[in-house]
Amino acid sequence: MNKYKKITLDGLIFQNPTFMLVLGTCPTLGLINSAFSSMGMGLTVLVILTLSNVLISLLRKVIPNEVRIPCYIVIIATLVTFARMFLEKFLPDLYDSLGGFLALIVVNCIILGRAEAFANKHNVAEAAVDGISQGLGFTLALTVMGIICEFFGKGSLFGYAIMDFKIAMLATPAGAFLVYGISIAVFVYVVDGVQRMLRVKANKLARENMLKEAA
Amino acid sequence: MTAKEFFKSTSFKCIVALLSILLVCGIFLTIMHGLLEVTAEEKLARAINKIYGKNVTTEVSDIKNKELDLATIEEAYCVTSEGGNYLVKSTGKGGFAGTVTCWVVVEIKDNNVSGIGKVTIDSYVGETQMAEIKQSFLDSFSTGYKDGIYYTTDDGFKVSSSTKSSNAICNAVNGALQYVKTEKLGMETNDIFKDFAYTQFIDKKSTTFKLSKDGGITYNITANGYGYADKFEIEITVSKDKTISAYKVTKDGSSGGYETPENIVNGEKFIGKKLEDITAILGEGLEYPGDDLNTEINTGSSNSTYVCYAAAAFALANYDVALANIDMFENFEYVKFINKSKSKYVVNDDLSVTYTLNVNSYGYTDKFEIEITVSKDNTISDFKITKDGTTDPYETPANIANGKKFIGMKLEDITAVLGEGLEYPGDDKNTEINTGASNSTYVCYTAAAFALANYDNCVPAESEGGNANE
Amino acid sequence: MFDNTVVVSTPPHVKSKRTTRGIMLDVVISLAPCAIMGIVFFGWRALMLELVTVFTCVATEFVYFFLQNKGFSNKCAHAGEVCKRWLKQFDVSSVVTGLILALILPSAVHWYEAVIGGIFAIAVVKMLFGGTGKNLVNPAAAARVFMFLSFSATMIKYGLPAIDAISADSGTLATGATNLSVLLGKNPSTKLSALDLFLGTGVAGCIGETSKAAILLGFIYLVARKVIKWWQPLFFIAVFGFVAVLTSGFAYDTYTFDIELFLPHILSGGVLFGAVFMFTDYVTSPKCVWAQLLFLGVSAILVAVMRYLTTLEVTSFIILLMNLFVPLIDKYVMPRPFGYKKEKKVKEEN
Repeated sequence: MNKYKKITLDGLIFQNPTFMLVLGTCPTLGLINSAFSSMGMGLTVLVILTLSNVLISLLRKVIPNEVRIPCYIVIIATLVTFARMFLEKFLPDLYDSLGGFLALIVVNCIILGRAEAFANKHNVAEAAVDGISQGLGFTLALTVMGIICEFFGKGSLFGYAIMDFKIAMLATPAGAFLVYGISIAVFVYVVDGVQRMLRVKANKLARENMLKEAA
Repeated sequence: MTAKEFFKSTSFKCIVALLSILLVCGIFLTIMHGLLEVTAEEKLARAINKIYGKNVTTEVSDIKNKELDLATIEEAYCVTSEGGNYLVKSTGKGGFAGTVTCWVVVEIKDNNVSGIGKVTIDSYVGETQMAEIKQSFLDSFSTGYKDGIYYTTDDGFKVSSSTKSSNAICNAVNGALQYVKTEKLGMETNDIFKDFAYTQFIDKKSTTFKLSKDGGITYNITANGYGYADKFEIEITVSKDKTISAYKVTKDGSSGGYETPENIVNGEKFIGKKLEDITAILGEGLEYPGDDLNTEINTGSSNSTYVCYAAAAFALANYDVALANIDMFENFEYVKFINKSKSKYVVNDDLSVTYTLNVNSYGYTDKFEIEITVSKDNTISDFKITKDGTTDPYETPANIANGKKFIGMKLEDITAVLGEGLEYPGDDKNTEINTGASNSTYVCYTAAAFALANYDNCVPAESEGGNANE
Repeated sequence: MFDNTVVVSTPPHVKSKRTTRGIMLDVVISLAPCAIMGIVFFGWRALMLELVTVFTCVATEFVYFFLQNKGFSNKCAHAGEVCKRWLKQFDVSSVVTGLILALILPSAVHWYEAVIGGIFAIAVVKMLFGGTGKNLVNPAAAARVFMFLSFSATMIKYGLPAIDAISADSGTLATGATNLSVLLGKNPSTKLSALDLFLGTGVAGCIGETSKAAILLGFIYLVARKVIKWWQPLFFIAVFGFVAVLTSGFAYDTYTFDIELFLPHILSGGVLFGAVFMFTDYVTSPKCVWAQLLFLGVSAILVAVMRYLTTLEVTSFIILLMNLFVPLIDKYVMPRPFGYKKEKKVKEEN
């Protein structure tokens, strides 16, 4: 059980694809001017990532090492194409707002990266958990930044207008870059701070235990 | 390498693995494509669905006249499943520096427009403040619908921080209404500016024109704003030779900091101008030349100047049409006795006025057509009935039919008989009217009274003096 | 036994009494004429914007310093000490940034937009990169670009000054247009006479860029105090004016080289202000003479060409762009070290 917990925590925090690994920056910069589309993007990647992780983990014994990258790309491209068809049929609004970035999921480093770094070395269950947690990490990061950018850049939240004042640059990719950078800084600062606190606490506990034992 | 070795080698394994994955994926996608394909009709249905919020059946409705004064009708659909409502895609003109395209749902009930169902923005060009246009504003079109309404920003159909874009949306909705009313329901729109050119520059609701004292036409134009310039109110007189003889800005719409030049406000710049002088600068289409072009328009307040030029062009271009449409008898007394649309008058060289009157019927009498000439001393010098409206068995008295009775008559002579109000005295009263054909006589008397009473309206005091000097 | 004529020490070897604070005070004084003319032309809005941006910049710097030095730790125990330290290191450069920022804004800008611009200039552009002397790009120029992209509605509303054109040759500008927009349009011409452009009377524009006379005054002061070298802005302006005349010839129906546009070109828009106060910024311009010539020359050509192509005032964008090239220029155009002689290439004999 501890193994899955570690995979999940890695995906969400310690190896968060957006903030820690800085992968998939293209859709991030292009889409975080709107909370809705960035969340949609995150969820689409979540689904594709999980499916590709499962498939690649299933086929890891079958696919020869020499041609693994073309095989992964074919599988990922198939999944992305399927996702496009599905979205166009059933969620046309989301399909319109994602635009060209949907097709670009094929070359999203997160998916190929996880396939290469994780899925082809682990069993199906682990790969699935990794896909979900990495996807969730990506979705959360994108949504939070999408909310920030949309709120300040457009004065709205998920498309609902809130205020008239807006800093229009934050709704452009250039402004997204600024927000992205600052978000990484804040995220790392918070994670480091929490880890340090936990360490201090653990050390203190250990010391007390030692003292107790000594006594 | 023998064939057997090849089949056992890694290369073969790689090829097989890759090809089989490709094959499986290809088959999967082919099947999915068949299942999930989105057809063209579905796409249109989706666009309409976005507007209606549900699925409706539509029929394409043809458009004869795409270019209306203030809007362009792009597409139109008859929504058959919604009781024959119309869905019109209309592009409204008169925005800040461009147009706004809206989808307008026009609701139909009993072959008449019963309301505006919904207005949604499709796209826009050249507008900068469209973010200010909120749903509540678009909803106000449906809640504020009245029969025969003409939406204007003056009536509160606006978002104050984006008045010009609101104006364009108003125009788009008006255009859609006009399209449905004229083309689909066959209703006549009572638009006196129907045949006028350049109406896009003026506010038709508050623009009027009348015959001026020198025989030209005086317009009271409310010019639409443009860019930074707000609405202007301008009084322009176009004389008979189609040049501007008077020009006065009565309400200056230029915004603070960009005051309209002095020679435009007092009209000096325009006196004596012809239409060609203005189209030479702005072109036939009266397009805004742009701030970078070095034209006359490019003053300290180019937008305002442009508006003033456009108003002048409107006045000049429509001289003939206005003359044909003019209400010659505005402010005239006793007009109720005559048929204004078929009557006219001319001022002769000797300052006498010849009326050609189509007189309304009264009682047994049918319409008369009478030619009356009133001389300078305000007496009737000629009276001729060109069409006798007397019905059998009555007969117009001879001295009336040949007009002798009226020659030399003054207004007082008639009011002495009929009173100031020219009331019909009644058959029992023993007056001059009481001839063998009292009704006809009465009608002829009123016509004469009309001609006499309005001499001053036809020949204003100034022109009299002016002519006397000649 | 010691040879006292030779002193071994770590650099810097040459010291002068000039401090960053002194130089920055000089810059503030040189900006004063522009600031005052801005208030004369654009009234209380100009004064308000100048005060707001200066205050915001200084306050942002203080807050950043306070946080960085852990002024809040231990329940603000060291707050007073941190404040003292801040006062000691305060070098007026944030005042300069704030003042320059106000001067390159149109007077229609709202105060809260100016506040955001000031915070951006100091917090993001300057302090995040390490504070005074370490910023990659000019904070004021970056903030202006940021505001230009963010608040486009007010950032292009150039108001007319309170004083009308005094020269008889000058026409009045079109609504919302500056002399530049006429100059960069088709068939360029100048609406205003050179005298008016120089004095700023009747010229729509930014608060501090309108009166070129005031900029000249600041320039003379800076040169007299040896803060900048006299040839830097002049070289920039000369190259810029020539290229601008050259390129604007294409805007005619047939190519015309009209040297009479030279004065209107250099006197319109914010080029002069940028040349005197922003391209000469120590931190964001190269170190040695040849590198500076290269930097200023390329900038001038870029401003002239981009102005022609975009028909916008692009000086602040070009400042930003060229600032990013400064490290590269510094790397490849090296100053000759003191006492270094170039080795002559000796032809190798067979």
